[in-house]
Amino acid sequence: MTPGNYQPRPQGASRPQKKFFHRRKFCRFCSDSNLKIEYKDPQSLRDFLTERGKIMPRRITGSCSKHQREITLAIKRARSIALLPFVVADGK
Amino acid sequence: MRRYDVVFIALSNLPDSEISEIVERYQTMVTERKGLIIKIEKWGKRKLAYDIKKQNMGFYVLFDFAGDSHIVDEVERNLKIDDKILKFLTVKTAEEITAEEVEVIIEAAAKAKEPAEGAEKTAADMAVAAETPEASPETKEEEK
Repeated sequence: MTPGNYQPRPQGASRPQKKFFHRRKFCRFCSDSNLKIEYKDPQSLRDFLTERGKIMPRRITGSCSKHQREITLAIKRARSIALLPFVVADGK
Repeated sequence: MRRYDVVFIALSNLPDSEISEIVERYQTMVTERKGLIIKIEKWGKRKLAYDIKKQNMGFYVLFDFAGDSHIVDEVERNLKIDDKILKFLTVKTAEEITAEEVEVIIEAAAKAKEPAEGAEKTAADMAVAAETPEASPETKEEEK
C-alpha cells in the first residue's frame, strides 16, 4: 500500500501487528479428568515448578484457577514432607 | 469418622525389622482406638528434597485410616517423641466416612490387588524366564 491511497481502518478491526504466534493455553486437568493432583506424586508436580523450585504462575502453565489452587496446595504439602524442595540453591 | 493420611519419614539406616516394628506400633495405636486402617504403604528409601536432622535419605511410610481426631492427636504425639522419625505430615482426606464405606474401599482395593498380584506373578515368571538369556549378554557387555 502506498501512502497515497491510505485509508483509515474501520474501528474495531484488529491490527496485524502481533508477530508472535499465540497458542491458546488450556487447563490440562479440566480437559483430562483422569489426571489427579496429589501431593504424593512429586514427579507430576515438578511440571509446575521452575528450576529454582518456585511454583509457576497461572499465566505460564495455563491452568484454571480451581486447579491452580489444588496444585499450589499439593506442592506445599509435598514440600513439607520433603518430596519437593522449598528452594533449589545451585552452584554451591 | 474422618479419613486421614499420615505420612512419616523414618531414619533410612534402620533395619527392616525395626521399620516393621514401628509400623506395627502405630497400627495397633490406631486400631486400639477404634480406628480402621484402610491401607499402609511403605514407599521405601527415598532421597529427601532437603536435609532433615542432617539426613539426606529417609524411609517413607504412608498410613491411610479412618477414625476420630483423638487418634491423630495420639499418633502425632508419639511421632513427635520418636527419635527415629524425621518428619511427619497428616492430611484429612475426607470429612465424613462411615464404617461401611471404609469396608467398601478396602474390598475394592483388595479386588484391584488380586488381578495385579496375578499379573505380578506372570511378570515375575517372565522375569525369571527372561533372566537366563538376559544374564549372558549383560555379563558379556561387562567383560567388554
